[in-house]
Amino acid sequence: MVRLAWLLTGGDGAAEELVQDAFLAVFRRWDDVRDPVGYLRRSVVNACMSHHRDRARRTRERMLVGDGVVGATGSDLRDVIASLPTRQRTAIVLRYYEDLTDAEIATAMGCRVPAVKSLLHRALRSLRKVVER
Amino acid sequence: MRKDAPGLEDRLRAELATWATEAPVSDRPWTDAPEMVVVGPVRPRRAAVAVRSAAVVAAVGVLAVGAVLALSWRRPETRGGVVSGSIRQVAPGWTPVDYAGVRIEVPPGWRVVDTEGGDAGCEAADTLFVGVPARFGSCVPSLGKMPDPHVTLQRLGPHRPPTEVGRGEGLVVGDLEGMRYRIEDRMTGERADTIVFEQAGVVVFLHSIPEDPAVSSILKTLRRSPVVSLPTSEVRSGVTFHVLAGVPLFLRRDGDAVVAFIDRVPPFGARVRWCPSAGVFVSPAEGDAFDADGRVVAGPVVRGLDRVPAEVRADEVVIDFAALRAGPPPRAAVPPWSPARIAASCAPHVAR
Repeated sequence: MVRLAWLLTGGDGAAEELVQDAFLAVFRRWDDVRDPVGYLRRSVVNACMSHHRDRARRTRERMLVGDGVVGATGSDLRDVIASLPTRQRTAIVLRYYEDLTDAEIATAMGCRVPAVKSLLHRALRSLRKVVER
Repeated sequence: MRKDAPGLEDRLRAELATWATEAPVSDRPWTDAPEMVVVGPVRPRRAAVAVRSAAVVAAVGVLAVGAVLALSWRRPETRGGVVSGSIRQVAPGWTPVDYAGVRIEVPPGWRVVDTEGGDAGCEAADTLFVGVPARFGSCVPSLGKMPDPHVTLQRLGPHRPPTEVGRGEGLVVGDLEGMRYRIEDRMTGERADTIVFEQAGVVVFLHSIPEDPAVSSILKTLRRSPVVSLPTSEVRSGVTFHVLAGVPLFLRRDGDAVVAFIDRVPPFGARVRWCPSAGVFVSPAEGDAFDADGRVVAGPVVRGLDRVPAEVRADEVVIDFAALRAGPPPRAAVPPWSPARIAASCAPHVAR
């Protein structure tokens, strides 16, 4: 899960903390949770997207320029993955790292299957430009 | 989809898999936690026997309280999505285990090992460990070259073949605030997910959920156990030592105000002692000292004593472990007390 969060946040050092929070959320709702793994995954996804929003807001407040994604210097492809919009990156990671189906991604992201298809399509289009370069 | 998509997808999978391996590991490996190593020898044998006896007495008391609560059970109180106070029927042959505000049930054939009672041993198969897994150190010789005695709990039994997943894994319910457990698979060297429950007061390793139906079925029984209570008459003014729900703690009572301090140097150190003459809790192992409010006054300890606010209701003192809070960090670095100073501060007697 830490690795998933690491990818979802584009390589952010806060990944471990976010996963801890997600585990805590699962524990607190243990009595109500029927699918702990699914619930946990969704908690991690939500936490990462929320974290990204907070980071973007803080960046704007500090008038900083640039995305500032940490740890995204490994390769061109990685840089592009890291620079994808958060939801597109989330869909890509859940598909190609977690190997989830469209329906499972939709569940994890709290959206509908057509939206997942659209996110994946747009993300792949961006990534393909790099591959073909 | 374009024709180059499969190639791109393969590259994506490879890139993400590589990138994922760069995820940071915990900053504090277990080997950097010296208190983990000394926790066993620190406690004198005589004290251990006394604590064990107290634990037995307390366990009987807790069972009695549990029986009373079961008989007087009412609709569970719902608070913030967490159902507390629920008592449900235990499946035939299963054994309920209460610890630190958590109830978990184990099936027939499973062992329940209280790590507070001494060395937990090396056999982790079909075992529920209750307490702090700080005493797996003795497993190191039998496991040969493993450099870190505290990292691995999974598949701890050396006789377990690496292909057998799940049943060789023990479950651990610990009680410590803010511990950072890191688990690695001793057979494959892979790092498993780390489960840390900050402020929840318990630590449960959930790694086996998708793999082992036996472990999963046990974890599904995990519940908040009833809050613990004891007669007000048993809580004298000042500081007294108790073992409640398996957790050793000091109760400090001042009129109707009662606070429970966890009897351990946080986050996972040695037991502390209450020195009434100086009005401090001390830990001789590292020279840590805490004032009567559990604040750090000496030592390398990272924060004050973890505490649970207790509530005095009519004729009973009620402790809800869900309210466990970490102690405050020291405002400034303070040197540890020397053994001589601790001895002087704790004369003429030490209470536990």
